[in-house]
Amino acid sequence: MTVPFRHWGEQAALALMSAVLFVSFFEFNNWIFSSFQYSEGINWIFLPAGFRVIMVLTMGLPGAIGLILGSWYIDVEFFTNTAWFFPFFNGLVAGITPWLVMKYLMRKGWLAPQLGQMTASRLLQVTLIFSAASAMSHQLVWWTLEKPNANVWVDVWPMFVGNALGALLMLYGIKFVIDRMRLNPNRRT
Amino acid sequence: MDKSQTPFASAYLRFLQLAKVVQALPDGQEMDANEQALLESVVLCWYENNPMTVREAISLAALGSPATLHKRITRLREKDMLSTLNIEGDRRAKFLIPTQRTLDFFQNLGQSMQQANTNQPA
Repeated sequence: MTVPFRHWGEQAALALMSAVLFVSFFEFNNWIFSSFQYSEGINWIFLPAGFRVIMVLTMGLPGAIGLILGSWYIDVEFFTNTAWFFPFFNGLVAGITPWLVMKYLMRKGWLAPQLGQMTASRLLQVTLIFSAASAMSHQLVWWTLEKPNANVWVDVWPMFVGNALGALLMLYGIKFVIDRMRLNPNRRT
Repeated sequence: MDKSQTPFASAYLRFLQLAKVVQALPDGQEMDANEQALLESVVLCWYENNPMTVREAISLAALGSPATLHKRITRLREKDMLSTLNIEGDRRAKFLIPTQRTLDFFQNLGQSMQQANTNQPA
């Protein structure tokens, strides 16, 4: 009985960690890139998109659930003048889309379950696919639920660019930190 | 997936895997084959306790003309793969020595060779 309890406990902790990191980076993104906002809910640079890639690839389903929870928390504050189902479905696609894309890529053999044999160029391709899928799924929900002032065919592009730029900035930021850590001769080994 | 792996362990191992891939992302600092050939010649001399001067390096006719090799040395210095050293009392000669990044690069190559050797069927 202890093992399943521990298993579910760890899954819940991962989901919570994913949600907290996603919300934190959303706030951070709003703080430093607020001038890059294209329209309500769309930014030309969206750093949390990088976390979507990292969370879903490393944590799998708990990471995706965390993204849903984080998006719900953000959307309830953000979309105050819309019906309750709008933040609900918006949050749902924010987490489910990258997870479904990951499952599809694994099925097609593009990704190994433990990310073995992954190359840098494959990671860049996966990042672009995640960005495109996320932008399209969000716009599809906004179009279906008739979000006010939304122009799906136009808005999908800045959303895709924002996701891709944000994710690349995040990945290269991590690379920068790792490279500096490796070069620091004073670090403990 | 191994059923005995806990979610934490699995997430951490995948994170390590991803970190390795992130480190290999292209950053415009990669060397081409010509730069690598020059670097190997320079580091080999340094390894034999006989570091090459810039003048000697640009005279390696098998690798290119002096002007081409000079540009290559400049590029390798910009990529933090080569550094120069002046000997006390003789500031005319500039010796080429590898940087820590170069030593890491060769260490990685050595590890890959060793790994490939271990994985070879008997």
